[in-house]
Amino acid sequence: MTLARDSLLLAHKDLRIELRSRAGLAATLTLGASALMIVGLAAGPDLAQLRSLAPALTAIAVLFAALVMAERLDAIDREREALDGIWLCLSDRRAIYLGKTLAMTVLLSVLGLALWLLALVLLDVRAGASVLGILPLVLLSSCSMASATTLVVAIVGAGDRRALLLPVLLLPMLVPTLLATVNGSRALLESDPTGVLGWVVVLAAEAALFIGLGLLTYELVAAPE
Amino acid sequence: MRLLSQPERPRVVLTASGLSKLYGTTLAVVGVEFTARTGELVVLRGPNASGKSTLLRLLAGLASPSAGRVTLTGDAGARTKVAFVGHAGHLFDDLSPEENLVLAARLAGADATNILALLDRLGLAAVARSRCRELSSGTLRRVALARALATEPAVLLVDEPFAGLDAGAADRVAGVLAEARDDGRLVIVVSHEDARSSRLADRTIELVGGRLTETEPAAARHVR
Repeated sequence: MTLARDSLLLAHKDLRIELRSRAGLAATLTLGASALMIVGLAAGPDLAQLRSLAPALTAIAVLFAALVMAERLDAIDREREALDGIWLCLSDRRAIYLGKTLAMTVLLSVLGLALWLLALVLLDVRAGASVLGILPLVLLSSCSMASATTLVVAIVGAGDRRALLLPVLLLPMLVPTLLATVNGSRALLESDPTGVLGWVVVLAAEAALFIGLGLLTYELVAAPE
Repeated sequence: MRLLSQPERPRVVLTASGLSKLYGTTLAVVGVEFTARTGELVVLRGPNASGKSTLLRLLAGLASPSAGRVTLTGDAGARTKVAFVGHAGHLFDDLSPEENLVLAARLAGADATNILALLDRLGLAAVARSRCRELSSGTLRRVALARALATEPAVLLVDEPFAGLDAGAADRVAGVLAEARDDGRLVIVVSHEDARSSRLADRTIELVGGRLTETEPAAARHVR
């Protein structure tokens, strides 16, 4: 219970800070929207091609936004060495991992939904009523990305090679998440509920795997040097 | 006014045994042997780059020693809480002092109802709801100390508590540190402020080149 309560307190702290400064959301939304527009323009005026590209474009935009968001959330804790203060307060430091994952899941979900709305308009995607099925896909995809990203950020730490190590370590880990998100979205646009359900289960399994890995290793990898 | 709502605190003994810290090829702390216990206020002194801040981080568990170890023994069954106030302050800039303290208290399982009284004790009531980003460095140092005390620690470690403070604020901080000791905590302070810290100290430790060179004074031996 203490772990759950502390995780919620820390997630609430991150969300409150992000809502006040809006630095992370604004940066990631701008990045994601720019990516959609640029690739949309590069793909040309062929509407059928744009529609077929929409799931992959949106997922990749969220993925790169996740990197920016992770840096931002990590910066909140590293500014004034606030993480040291939190570290000493907690009896179970895994709350830092869970809290950060939860906050990032919320922020990436908001971003993912906003980018899907943008894709519906910019890429002329026609999803009809089945568009509601995007909610579990976006939520689980965000959770999977957030749980893996938070762990890798802790592993990489604040060293000089962080800018290189973060994408090199993270992106291969997220390939299955990316594939499941793209295929799930495609199944949704093709009105294939069985296909969507299958990919939702895959995303849930990936998120559970990353969270389990994070809970097992976070305190070890994030411990002070 | 007592700083804490909880009059009985676990009694602790903090021991550093052969403690060393190496950064690259530089020895920051070398073979430090040191013991301190509840009810003591120990001042760590030394020239710049003598390893004082590193030693404090080692004692807090925020750095791992290259050799030796730190042990904290306390009452059985009680979690010994350690609070550390470093130069950075450990505050979230986009939260207010009150929000920072409430968060720290809740995470530490401490009582968060006396937060405003604690801020008032350090002369911070007027800025309790301002964002930390808007506060001066001297004010932030006091907020950082209040934040540490809000966690109701058994061991309080403070790096340069008087740096950047005017005389009035420094006296107030000195009073709060003495009160923390009298409240049944072990307080260890790194300070360059000789006169004020000498008045405050039960015991003074001198570090030169990372080595413990002197432990004084007689005034503190009665504590043992």
